[in-house]
Amino acid sequence: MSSLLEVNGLTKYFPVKTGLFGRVVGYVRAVDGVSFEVAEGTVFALVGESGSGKTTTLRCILKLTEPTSGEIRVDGRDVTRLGRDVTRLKGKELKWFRRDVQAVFQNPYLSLNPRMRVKDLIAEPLKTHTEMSKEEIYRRVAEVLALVGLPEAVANQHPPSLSGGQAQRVAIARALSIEPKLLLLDEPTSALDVSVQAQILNLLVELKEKLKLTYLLVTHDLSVVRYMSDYVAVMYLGKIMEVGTSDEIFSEPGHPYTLALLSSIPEPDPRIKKLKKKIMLSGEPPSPMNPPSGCRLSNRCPYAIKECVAEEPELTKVTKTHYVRCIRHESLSSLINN
Amino acid sequence: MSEEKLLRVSDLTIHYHTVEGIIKAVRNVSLEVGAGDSLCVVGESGSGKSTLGLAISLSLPKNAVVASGSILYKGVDILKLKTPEITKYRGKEISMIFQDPATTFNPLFTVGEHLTDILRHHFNMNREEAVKRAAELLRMVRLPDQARILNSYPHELSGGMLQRAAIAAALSTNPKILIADEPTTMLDVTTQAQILDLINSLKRELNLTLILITHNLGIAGEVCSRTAVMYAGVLLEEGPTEDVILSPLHPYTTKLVKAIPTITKTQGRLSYIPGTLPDLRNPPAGCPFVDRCEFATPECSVSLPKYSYVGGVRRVACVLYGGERK
Amino acid sequence: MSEFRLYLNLVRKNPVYLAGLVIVSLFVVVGLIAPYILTRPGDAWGLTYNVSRRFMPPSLEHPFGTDEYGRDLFNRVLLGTRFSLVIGVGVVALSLAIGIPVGLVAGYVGGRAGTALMRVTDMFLAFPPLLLAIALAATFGRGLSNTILALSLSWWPWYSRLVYLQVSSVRNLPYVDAARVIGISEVRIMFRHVLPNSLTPVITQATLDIGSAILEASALSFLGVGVPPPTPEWGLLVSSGWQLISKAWWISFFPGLAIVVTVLGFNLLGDAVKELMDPRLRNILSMRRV
Repeated sequence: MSSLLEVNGLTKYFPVKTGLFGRVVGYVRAVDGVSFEVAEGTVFALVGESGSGKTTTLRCILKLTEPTSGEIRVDGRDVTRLGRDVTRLKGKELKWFRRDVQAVFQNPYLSLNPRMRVKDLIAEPLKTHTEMSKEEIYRRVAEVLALVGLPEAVANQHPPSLSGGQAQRVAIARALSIEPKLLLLDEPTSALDVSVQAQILNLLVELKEKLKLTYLLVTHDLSVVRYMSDYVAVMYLGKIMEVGTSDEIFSEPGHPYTLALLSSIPEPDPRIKKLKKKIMLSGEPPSPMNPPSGCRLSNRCPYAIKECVAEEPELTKVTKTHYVRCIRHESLSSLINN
Repeated sequence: MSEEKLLRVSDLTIHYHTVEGIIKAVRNVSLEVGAGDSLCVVGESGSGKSTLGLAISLSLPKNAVVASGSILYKGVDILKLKTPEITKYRGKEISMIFQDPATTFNPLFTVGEHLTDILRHHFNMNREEAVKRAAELLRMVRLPDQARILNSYPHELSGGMLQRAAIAAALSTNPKILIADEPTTMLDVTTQAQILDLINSLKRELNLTLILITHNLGIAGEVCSRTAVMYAGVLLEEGPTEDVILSPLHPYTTKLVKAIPTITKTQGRLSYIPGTLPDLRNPPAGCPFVDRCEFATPECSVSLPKYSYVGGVRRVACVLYGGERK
Repeated sequence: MSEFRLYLNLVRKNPVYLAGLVIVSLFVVVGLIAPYILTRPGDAWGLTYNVSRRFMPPSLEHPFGTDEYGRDLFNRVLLGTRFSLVIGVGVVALSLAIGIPVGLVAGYVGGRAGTALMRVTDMFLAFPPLLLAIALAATFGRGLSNTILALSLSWWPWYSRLVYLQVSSVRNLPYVDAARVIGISEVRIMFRHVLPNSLTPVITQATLDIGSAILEASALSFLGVGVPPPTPEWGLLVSSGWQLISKAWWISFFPGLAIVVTVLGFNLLGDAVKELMDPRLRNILSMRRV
């Protein structure tokens, strides 16, 4: 199994300017050294709250933003050196990238042009990337609509007249029309109702099997992650705090932040509520311009000690797949039970 | 249980007049909340739960019309009150906090100014007393550094801090009932956990009567002793939260509980609810869930089923439980 | 509930808004058919000279009286409607043709180039538009097309700004990102996705601006830098009767009245449209008992 996507040492700093002349006073380190690999045919999840840098990472991969440094390799080819200037016309060099890597965004009413009909929305990628004739294109559109479970009648409608679930299916259909290899999902169900969420999640899992896709899932919703993902990376303030297989992260979390995330999910089932290990973070997330010295969680972590503030820990290996950025991770379970 | 309940909603029906037609947002909803109770109103979008909250807190928008029913608070029908009387209740006896705390605060005033304004308006305090009391309130919602926060403008505070300040403002008038409409939906999960914990403690310390509106059954489980489930404007089921979640009665509740992915175990396909919400401009005559329900009978489409009482503390509106015909 | 129903409710609340629609409709219809319903086309076009009929006050035969050349004023004012319509629509259309591309490019490219372009636009905005138009018209000389050109050159910055603002926010919407991810070229995104979604405010404003354009054109003609005689343009008609106001008040009065009523009609319609667009008000208007 080769890795379809490789991110190495990715950083993205946004300059902060003040004053009349726009003097640069500091940087928001939105992404501060992120590395991970996504193997072909798997689902990799990037989890974090707002300010974690997960969305910026996604935007860098999609080349909607230019990273400050680092490498992004898709299928072995280095993507970052292509087309430095994001606002330029698509060169021949980027074309294969846009065909192989597609995305589905959070709010389908905002990610679909409200003035276009569904069939034109889905046809657009086909018109851009293929030489298909008009009939061939619309035949493919009908095919893809059926694939995502939408009736043909939807083709002539506009997004605002569709329900949330239908609109998101259209967005998925559009992304899949040109048969990409890697699909990036940015909070694909956060804007939908609970009952519709389940429909869309089921669809995504089904499509992955059927079309042999690879997913990079970016979300704050851990239950969605649990349902769909093979691997999980937990991000906080621009860095990965813990990464591992889904089982490792959910059953044997090593980092206090991961555990805090897991504890914070309101559990409906009262029997399970009693069994959960719970920790709660204190205070508020610090400003991303001034992360605390040492470990980024040190000012909020209930288990922080002197050494935590002194130096920022590295990712240490727990198993072949499981890495944790915490100097106390080995003693975490005993700490919690006390 | 014959004591007079603090709040009694009877057969409430609310319509919105909009450009697209008249939306029947709440239909024949009845419920009761006793002093010190905590009730969660759970539903997806379009269920009418927010409208219900707005009605109880006397904050309905101008294009909302109460087509029938009453809301008795301490025996007084607050829906029938005229303007001077309403101010005795709105924001005073019954307070509300919203999903976006920024909407509670005027961006031109500091949090301190907002709080002292409320305090001085409702109680006869001078400026010094009001400031002192405001700081106390901020302490009560676990905000550190009260002086700095009193002098801060809303945009200078984070979402979690602002929501706490909103809770402080809502509680400043010593209300009997606090209505919280999706108070944590806009917050990060770790902040959400803190806010829910705060609400739980305040509920206990102040013996507050709480009505929490949410789409998240998990939050219901964490905070409220009773839960009511709404769908397309109708209240389908109500009972002690644990019972509603562990042994749901109504087919909709059952499906809702099963559709939630959990983190405790890996699951096969998620069970989901096929179909979509009915059009609220022309809701079906009978049970609104009929098109999506696997147990539907022809009876279900005729009229809204009456409530059947199960075990004395639960009720459900479904023919499966032998509801009497209206 | 249709738009028209809402409008009816609005009118019920405030009957004055009905006047706006009536006046503008009348203006457009008359403007279109005027050349074909003239009873004295010679008079209207300024080709005749009837010495015996000079300075006749309003009467049944000449409802608006006659002017210093003995020409029937009713016919002249009627034909003037056509000229006002042409000028009004012409100015607005040309202003849009210049303003929209400038605003679109400035808004889409953004950054320093965009801001620079808008600064240039702002410079034009700094001039009181009428003064600039007068100066330009005086430079170009009299004539129908010169008038339209002069007015458009002073008007386009307003539309530029409207488009710029709209484009600046639309270009940050997710569907623009989505279009990039699909691989669509920036130019195509600008025209296919951003532009169509940015036009509504400026088109609405422009339609209602026709009234103001007519007023300004009349001002230019009144001052002698707009349309030349014998064109029966309303402003020109007003100025031709100006010296004679004590002797023959009707020569200035009726064309002046036409200007006032038309502009008033557009303003009322504009106010009605703006109220209808406000979403909260729309919902209140849909209530049965208003």
